[in-house]
Amino acid sequence: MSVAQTISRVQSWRPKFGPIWLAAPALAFVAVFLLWPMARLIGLSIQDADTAAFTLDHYQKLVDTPVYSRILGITFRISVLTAFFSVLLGYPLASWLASLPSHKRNKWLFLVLLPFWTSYLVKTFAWMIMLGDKGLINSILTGTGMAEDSLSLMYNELGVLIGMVHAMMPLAILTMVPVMANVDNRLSLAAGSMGARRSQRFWLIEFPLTMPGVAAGGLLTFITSLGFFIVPAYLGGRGQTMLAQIIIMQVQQLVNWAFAAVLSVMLVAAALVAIWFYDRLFGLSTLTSASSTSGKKHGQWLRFLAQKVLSLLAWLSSPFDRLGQSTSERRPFKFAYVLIIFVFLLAPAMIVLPLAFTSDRTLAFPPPGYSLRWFEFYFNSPIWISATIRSFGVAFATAIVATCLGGLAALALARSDSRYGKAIFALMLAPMIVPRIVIAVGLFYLMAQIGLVASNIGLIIGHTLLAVPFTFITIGAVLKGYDWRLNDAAATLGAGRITVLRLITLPLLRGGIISAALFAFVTSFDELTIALFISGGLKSTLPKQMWDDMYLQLNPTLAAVSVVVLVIVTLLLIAAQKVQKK
Amino acid sequence: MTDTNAKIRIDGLSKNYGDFTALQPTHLDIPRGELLTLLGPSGSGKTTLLQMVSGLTPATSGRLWIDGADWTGRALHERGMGLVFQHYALFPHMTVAENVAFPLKMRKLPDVDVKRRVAETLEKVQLDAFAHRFPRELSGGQQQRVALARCFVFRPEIILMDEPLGALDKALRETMQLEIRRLHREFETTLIYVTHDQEEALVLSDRICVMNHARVEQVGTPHQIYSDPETLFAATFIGHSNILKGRIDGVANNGLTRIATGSGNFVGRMGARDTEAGEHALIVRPEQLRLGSANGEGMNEVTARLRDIVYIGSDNRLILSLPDGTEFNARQDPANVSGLNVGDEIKVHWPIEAGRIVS
Repeated sequence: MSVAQTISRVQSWRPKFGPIWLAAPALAFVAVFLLWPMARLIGLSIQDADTAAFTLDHYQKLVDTPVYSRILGITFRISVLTAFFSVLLGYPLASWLASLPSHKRNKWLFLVLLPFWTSYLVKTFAWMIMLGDKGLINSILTGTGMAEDSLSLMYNELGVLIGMVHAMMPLAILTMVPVMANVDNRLSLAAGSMGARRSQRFWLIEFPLTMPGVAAGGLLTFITSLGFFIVPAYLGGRGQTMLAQIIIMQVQQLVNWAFAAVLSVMLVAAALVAIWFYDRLFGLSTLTSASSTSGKKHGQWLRFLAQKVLSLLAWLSSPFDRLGQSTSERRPFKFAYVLIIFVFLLAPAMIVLPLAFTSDRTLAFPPPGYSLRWFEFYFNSPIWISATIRSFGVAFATAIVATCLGGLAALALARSDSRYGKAIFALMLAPMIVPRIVIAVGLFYLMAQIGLVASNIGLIIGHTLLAVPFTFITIGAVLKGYDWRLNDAAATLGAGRITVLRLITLPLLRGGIISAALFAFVTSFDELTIALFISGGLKSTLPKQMWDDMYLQLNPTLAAVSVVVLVIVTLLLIAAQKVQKK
Repeated sequence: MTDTNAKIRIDGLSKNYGDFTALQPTHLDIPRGELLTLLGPSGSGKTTLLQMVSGLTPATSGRLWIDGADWTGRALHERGMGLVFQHYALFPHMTVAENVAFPLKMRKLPDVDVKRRVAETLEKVQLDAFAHRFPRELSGGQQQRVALARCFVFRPEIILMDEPLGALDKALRETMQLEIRRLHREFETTLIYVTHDQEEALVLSDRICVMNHARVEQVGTPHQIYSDPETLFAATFIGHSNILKGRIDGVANNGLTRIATGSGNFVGRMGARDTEAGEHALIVRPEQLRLGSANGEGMNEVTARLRDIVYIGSDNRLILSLPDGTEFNARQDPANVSGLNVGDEIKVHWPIEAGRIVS
């Protein structure tokens, strides 16, 4: 409604309807369902709950209660460690992927995309099976006599970090690969011809050039980790409670909106500070180009420091130059490492597969026998089936709405050189930057006011908000390669604007549009955070139902459901890859 | 090795990728201080040869000798050769000065010396004012000069360049060619230069190595290759040629060879490495054709139809059609052309020693 009003008002106000206005529906959507709720949250955090008068009491409470500052500290620590290890451990795999020719790279990238799109719940469920006291890893260790007693691998920081790094590493890799692939590998050869050894080539040339990717990967994993609750809730102990869990508790159990708002503001502030640091330290203006004139002095000082550090690193790693002969094209160490990381990324989901077919009531591995009983249970359970159907319906609607909104916005940016382009771009990506938990809390507050809680519409709106950045980026990428002169050519041949769109533009963009829709579908299908708040009671989605079930007890039904989810997501990803190739 | 003159001895280097032959076994001696161009179309193996000399690509067979020592398996960073790449390969995160300083730093020169030599070299390529710019802030020609400076700054004894001017426009390319000649002479290096541009090869080279289909066609000074092409490919790739296809028809009494073609029988000199078997062609350069009937001995003569007269600045180009339809070009002073009309039947002749018979 408001979208249509905006457009009609805009049209009468300015008769010339430039392409930039195609972004209006998406912007209005983001404004109403992201910016406005955020503003409300900020308002709540500085208002007295009863009188609505201005107050800083809630913040005062945050400062006064040591447990909260401790939780802030824990959240920050786990997020930093997660980002660090995701980037560090993912870097060699990313650089290996980047070194492949592009058709091969896309095949292998699929093995990263798969865990990327696999539901966090499935991943966490798998890790619980693997890391428990009687879990897979411990039974292997004690069974082979490598350890006398079970090691405690979960309900502590180690468990949380394993789960978090596993959840975040695909994101880190996917962020780094394009940057690395763009680095001209002849530069390293050129350095070699000038006398640089392997260590020097890596630290002085390759690493600084991949730095923007590393920093972006670290930033994105850090921000996403900040708002995480699934992994710490199931794999962590008391000492690993993170901010998002407290926010959920404040909203769902204590109904303390003001304090939930304060914590949300904290989360967003932490994310913004991280982005600010990124811009200061690794932004385009420093290491990579330094072409900007502003802050050049600072930049030079920083560059000098960075160069010294990198030279030191090169010197420190030079003793290893002889490991892995640079002349031989095969690198056994690197290959073994790549294999290990792929196993780490894929094994958890694969573990679930045999367990779904167990004949036993427990999740013992290996299963004592095989049967289809848990799938039967799933298909005969009205609760599970209605949740599945709801998830499908919501995901389908989300795919359509998000593709339209994101596609039009991408088209607007591709077709106009408006000076608002950058701002629009930033706004379109905002749902990816703001921690999901904050989006969910804000939406919950809004939906409660307009009576859309526990409704499918509310879910679709929330999921569309999360999916819009994906469709926007995917369609934007296709549009970049689109030759707009084709439109002129068609027009000179007598085609009207609608005909051009129907016969030329849409067919050429079809692959990108379909894969955008598929990504939107998967985003919604896997989504838990918003469902946690907005799908209440009987109107549960599949991830919400899994979350509730996992809370009660780990059972083989969950494995069967996980397999169903995995199969659906895999099929959708394969479909997306197939249409993108065409 | 015995030949002390050869700075670089390419001793049967070859490269196969599976069944694909990128370069057949190749032998080449390059004396100290020479500027040799590897000239050929893409896929001729010239870049492969250069890369094996540089160490970027390992050779399938053969050896590489530098100053009489076997360098075949040496690591890239130990060769100390200067390389200039087609797209310059300037480090985008370093300033011009830092780029040029890089090879000196790798050689652990004291900072003072690095500074001095960078400044000197940048001055030589007239980029001293741009020392603190980043490569992306420079024009293509300036970037190319940085690449040259970065290569010459550490005074490598051997420099290898792979189509370094390929991305520049024509005028800039000509300026840079002269610049490379000057730097080559000034630093007294041995330089191998890969190009597919025959004019560039003629301007730069002490010697040209013409390559085609993964092998060497001919090696010689530009003049040798132009006036004495050994193969049909060498004849057509360097300069304009008129080609008349035919069969060998025995030896003439003066030691030259007779060739029978669709436009008559002619006499010419056999190319230096040719045999009498198979298809051959008579090569005549356009400037050697003269108008009118031959007076006296030692000339080939043919009647041709004048198809067009094209004014090309200093000369006129006459486009002729021989009796069998072969197209011949003749370059003539405008004064000789007056009175001729398109469509005329005219006679042309050329000295028998000027024609080369190749296959």
